[in-house]
Amino acid sequence: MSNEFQNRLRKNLEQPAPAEHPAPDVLNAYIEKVLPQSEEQQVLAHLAVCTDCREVVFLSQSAAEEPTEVVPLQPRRIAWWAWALPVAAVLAVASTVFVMQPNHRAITTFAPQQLAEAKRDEAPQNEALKAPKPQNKTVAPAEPRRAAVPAAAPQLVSPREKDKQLRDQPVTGRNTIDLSAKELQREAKTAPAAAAPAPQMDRKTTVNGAPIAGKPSDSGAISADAISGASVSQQVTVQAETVQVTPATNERQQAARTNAPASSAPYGYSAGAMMAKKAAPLTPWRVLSDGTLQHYLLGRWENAAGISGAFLTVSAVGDDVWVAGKNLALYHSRDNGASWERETLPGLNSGDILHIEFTSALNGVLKTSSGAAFSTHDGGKSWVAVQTP
Amino acid sequence: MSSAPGTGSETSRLVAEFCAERFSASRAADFAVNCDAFTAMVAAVVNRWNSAPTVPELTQFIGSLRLEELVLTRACAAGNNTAWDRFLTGYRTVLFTAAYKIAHDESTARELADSLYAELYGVSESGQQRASKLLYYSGRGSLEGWLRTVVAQEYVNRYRKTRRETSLDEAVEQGQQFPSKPVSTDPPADRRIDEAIAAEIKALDPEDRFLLASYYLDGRKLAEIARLLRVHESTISRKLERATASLRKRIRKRLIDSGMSSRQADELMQEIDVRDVQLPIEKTMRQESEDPTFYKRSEP
Repeated sequence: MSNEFQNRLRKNLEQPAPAEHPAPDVLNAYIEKVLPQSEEQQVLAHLAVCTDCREVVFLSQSAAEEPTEVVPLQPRRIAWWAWALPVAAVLAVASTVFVMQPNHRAITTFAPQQLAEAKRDEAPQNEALKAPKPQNKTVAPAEPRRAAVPAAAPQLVSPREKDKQLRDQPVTGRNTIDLSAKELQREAKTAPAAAAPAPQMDRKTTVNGAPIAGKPSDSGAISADAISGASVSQQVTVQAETVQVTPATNERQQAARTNAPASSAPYGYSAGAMMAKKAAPLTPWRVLSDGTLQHYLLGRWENAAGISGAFLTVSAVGDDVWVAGKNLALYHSRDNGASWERETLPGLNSGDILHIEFTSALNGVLKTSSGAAFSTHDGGKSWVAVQTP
Repeated sequence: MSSAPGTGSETSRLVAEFCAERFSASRAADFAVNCDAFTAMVAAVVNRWNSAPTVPELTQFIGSLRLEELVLTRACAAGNNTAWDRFLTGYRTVLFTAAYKIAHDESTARELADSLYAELYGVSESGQQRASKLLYYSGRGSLEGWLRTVVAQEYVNRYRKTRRETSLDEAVEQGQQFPSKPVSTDPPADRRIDEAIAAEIKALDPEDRFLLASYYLDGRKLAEIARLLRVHESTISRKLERATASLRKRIRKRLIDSGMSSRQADELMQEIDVRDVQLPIEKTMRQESEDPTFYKRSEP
């Protein structure tokens, strides 16, 4: 039964070929998309029922030496960034991972104030750390301090074990530093005034030229107390990207990323986020020098479907796209290029539309080769001639 | 000659103005073609396209013509040596390259290209007036593309049947076995099914039908179809899915409308899947005719 149905479908799809076929120049004009829209539809309707002509157009197309698509040329600067940013980000991440690997410590980056709170929380457990801290923070080098800790507090667990304990503790644990995104930002703003950057660092790394220093906290976690030369917004970014204490704080990191100012993106660890973004054109529409209208879709320029002609200018606001060109060609799409409507200008029979620009979905202006200018306030439904100076 | 017969005075005037403006750009003077002759060429093309175009249509049409290539073909057809030199320099390679890419075989490609070249040159079969095939180029689209299309047509005319027969033979030689015609034990099909399928396929949107036929019957790749329609492959894939689903839904609805119960229709619809449609060799072979498909009926 299934075969029977399929045969019926085939039989109907494969109607006998029509007696008349489009001439080769028409088929070629169809392939090259230079037919008027009405004629193009006629050819498509013929191709839908004619196996021979379908074979011809596909063969002819396959014989073309090069694809008819125009490969978009990216500006040199964008191309450089497109390669440089991922490479820089990968290097930064790789170097960070490499540096942190030996001690297997979670990279915990806190604003100094949160660090102080954390230290206060640990105070009952580790009284011996209170006394040397002020000196260590400003004067003493890291290694001597680290060596001195076990001597002063023999009951204290080692930093590595403490670190492990911290990682294993639940979010609501006493020693867990619970930071919301807002707190992160607020603390970042107050950080420079609240605490001076600690000069002693036991490891350093650099991300996008901004040195990031970390020192082991008393709890064993590593905190970046200072970002030399970085602004407040840079600190926010670094914190948001690097705080990895518990799953709960991961969610807050996401919020912090979202809330971080855009201007901070080029600095700090947010380079990784930039790496993921592909350089996209400012507007997804363009007109080539040969009059072809193209749409930027899925990371590449594609010739616009359902419209042909020699175009000179295009303007888009949201899903509304207006394209115009030679012979007063003026088309409007309300659905981002899925369908096009032809529009006409009153009182003109010839000429080209040189420029069209819409400032909103309703308001736009255009200029023609004859010097006439028109404006619309209803999205192109009606055009009114305006006086040009 | 400054007017196009049957196109009306307004059309003639527009064509004459257009040709006067574009005469120098067309490089017609290189082949000793004067402005009047050039105007006559364009007028003939316009007349062949549409005998009564509106002014905007005409303006758009003549504005899109490839005048330089049109003049070159007409000069070649007239036997101008300079034109032939230019044609050979610019397009002979195109012709042979296209033939090779289409035929995928050097000897076939050479035979195809040589034969076409003779036709383009206009060798008279009976010693009568020389008639070059280049006269059929109208300036719509590039001359290069037109040559490729002509090669493709000639290839379909000459080798399609042979190629398919050979393919079948090769398949048998390679040990491929074709299933015998299944003996259907099902009861005779309801006539309403035939009607529903025929009606819905006939009512398909041309683009949907083109996509279904190209993909499911011709076996074209998504990339090929996408390139022809100048859209992304994913768009073609989406449209195919949508067209297939829509076709099934409409056939089912028509079956129900014709009095079939929903359950019956659903059972039948489970067995209909246009995605399983394969190129039916028998049917295709039956469609082959001795007469070439193109030229004799499509050319003026």
